[in-house]
Amino acid sequence: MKDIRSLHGRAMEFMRIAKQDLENRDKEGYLRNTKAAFDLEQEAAYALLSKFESEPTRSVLFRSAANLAYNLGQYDQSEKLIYQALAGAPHAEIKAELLSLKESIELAYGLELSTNDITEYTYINVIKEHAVNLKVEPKTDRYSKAVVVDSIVDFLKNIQISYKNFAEVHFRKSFGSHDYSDFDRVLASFKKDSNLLMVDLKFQSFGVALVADTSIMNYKFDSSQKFTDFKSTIFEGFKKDVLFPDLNSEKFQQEIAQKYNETERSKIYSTIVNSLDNKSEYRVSISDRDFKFKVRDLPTINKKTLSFLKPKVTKFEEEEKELLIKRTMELTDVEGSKKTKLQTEFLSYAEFSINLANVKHKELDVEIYFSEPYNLKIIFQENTFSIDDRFFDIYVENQDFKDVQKSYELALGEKHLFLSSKDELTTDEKNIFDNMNSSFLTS
Amino acid sequence: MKDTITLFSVTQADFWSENCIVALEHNTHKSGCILKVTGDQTEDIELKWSKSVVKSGYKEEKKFVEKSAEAISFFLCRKYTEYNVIEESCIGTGVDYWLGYDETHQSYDPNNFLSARLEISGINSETSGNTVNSRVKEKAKQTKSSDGTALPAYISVVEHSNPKAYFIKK
Repeated sequence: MKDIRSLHGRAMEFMRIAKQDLENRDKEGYLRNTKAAFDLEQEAAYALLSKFESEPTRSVLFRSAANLAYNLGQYDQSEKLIYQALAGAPHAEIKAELLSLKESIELAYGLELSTNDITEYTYINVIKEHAVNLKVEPKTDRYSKAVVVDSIVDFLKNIQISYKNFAEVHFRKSFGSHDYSDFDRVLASFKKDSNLLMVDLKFQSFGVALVADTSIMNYKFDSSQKFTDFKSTIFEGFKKDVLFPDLNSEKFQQEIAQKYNETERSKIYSTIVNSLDNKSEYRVSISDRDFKFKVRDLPTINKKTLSFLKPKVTKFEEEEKELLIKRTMELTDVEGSKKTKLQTEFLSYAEFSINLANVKHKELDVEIYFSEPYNLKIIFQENTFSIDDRFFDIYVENQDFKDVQKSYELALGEKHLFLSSKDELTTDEKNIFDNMNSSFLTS
Repeated sequence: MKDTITLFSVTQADFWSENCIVALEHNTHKSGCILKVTGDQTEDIELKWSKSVVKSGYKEEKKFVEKSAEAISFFLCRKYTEYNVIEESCIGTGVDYWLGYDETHQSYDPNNFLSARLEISGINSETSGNTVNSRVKEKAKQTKSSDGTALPAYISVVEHSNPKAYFIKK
């Protein structure tokens, strides 16, 4: 007679190792150990095939094996195991999980997902464990529960900027030029990696699960213990200081006043409060993991809180002056001869698009010629112009529009030289080098 | 811990115990502090420890608070139910563990060793927006079956600043 519990225990051990492989981005190890787990779990489940009285164990083992088969891309096998589980008498929760897995299989068939796709989705499931689920709902019922796209875009932009600024504030508090001789470059690299990811969506009265990947794909530039300890606290700190507290509470405000000065508070909270003040067209709430019920509302902030979280910061002479983009709109004819000024506005955020045909930098020994004009987006935000090019993995910042382009060109040339002279490239480096070779020639 | 949860290794048991000590000392509690248990039973339990834990490996508050809640919940499970803690639930929402009978128990069935779920939630310090009651409601809402086919489950919510635990059968 098979020792089902022992089989299952060994399967669980392989699953734990596979999960670690996933966090270490070891795909081969992940698939190998998942397969080992699957073989054992399937054997344990089938040992209970005819033992319908063995609930919940029977359906749990079949569900577990079905899930492992799904992660391996073996959809037929996974479906068979689900039906075996349903043939018994699974408890309501297990039945719901089985049916949910069946839906995922149908989606995988529809999207023709490969094992690699499933592995990537499993990565999302790993980081999703730390996500916060938020719902954005309209304040009026003009469109019933449907929320206007502009509201979603506005909220996502506000929370993204708030998180990036939170991460930067904490980085500056924790590190200085004594930690990094090239502090500005390291800070730029840190800011580039400080992004919130959407790891789940619910389209009915829009729900989104947001998380920051602070350990698997990002922040690879420093492996010291100090930085490792620091980065593991960033996203949790953001949830604790920005999303979870009652921002109107006096006790909270006293704590925050101790923690952050006015400049830091303004940086962290000034965008997110725009989503939470009474003029906002939508409201935000924290939801449970399945977006089924509301945990609580993010409160509408009052005037006192607004002036506390978004104080008017007095800038001293030696600090940088605030820069803005001035946009003037004029009514004119095609030749541009008759002009009537309509409006001038000052923007703290703007996007520009430029096309690069070739790169010729005085500090570079090579020239770069693009096979077709290469489009780049330059973003102006918080006094700074930045280029975040994911295709060539280059991030630069500068307070001058022309200088940020020059910085980019220099970084592109230097990166190409570095990669072309390196003996062995990592997988990511090879992808970037392939992108370069398919986009431009050098001389 | 290793004498209470016999199905985990000594290393695992030490890991949970250390997280518990860290979470309590993080809230300035000392050995001998009282844990107020409410829910299906009301009792004051004295928490005692003698180990001095090196804190440098325990930086992330959320992690050690969760693990501490698990450790305390395991003790409560052994104290207030017939079950032992078998393993972590690898699939499912929240932090769940499977419970089952010890092999020496008269109800033990080698073909049906998973009997109930233990759903655990840990809070470092209650705030107006994050209370034991709200966590209990959240856990209780997660599965509602009106036809009696719901899985047997226990909910345990542990708070560390004024140590208390709410432990009920769902």
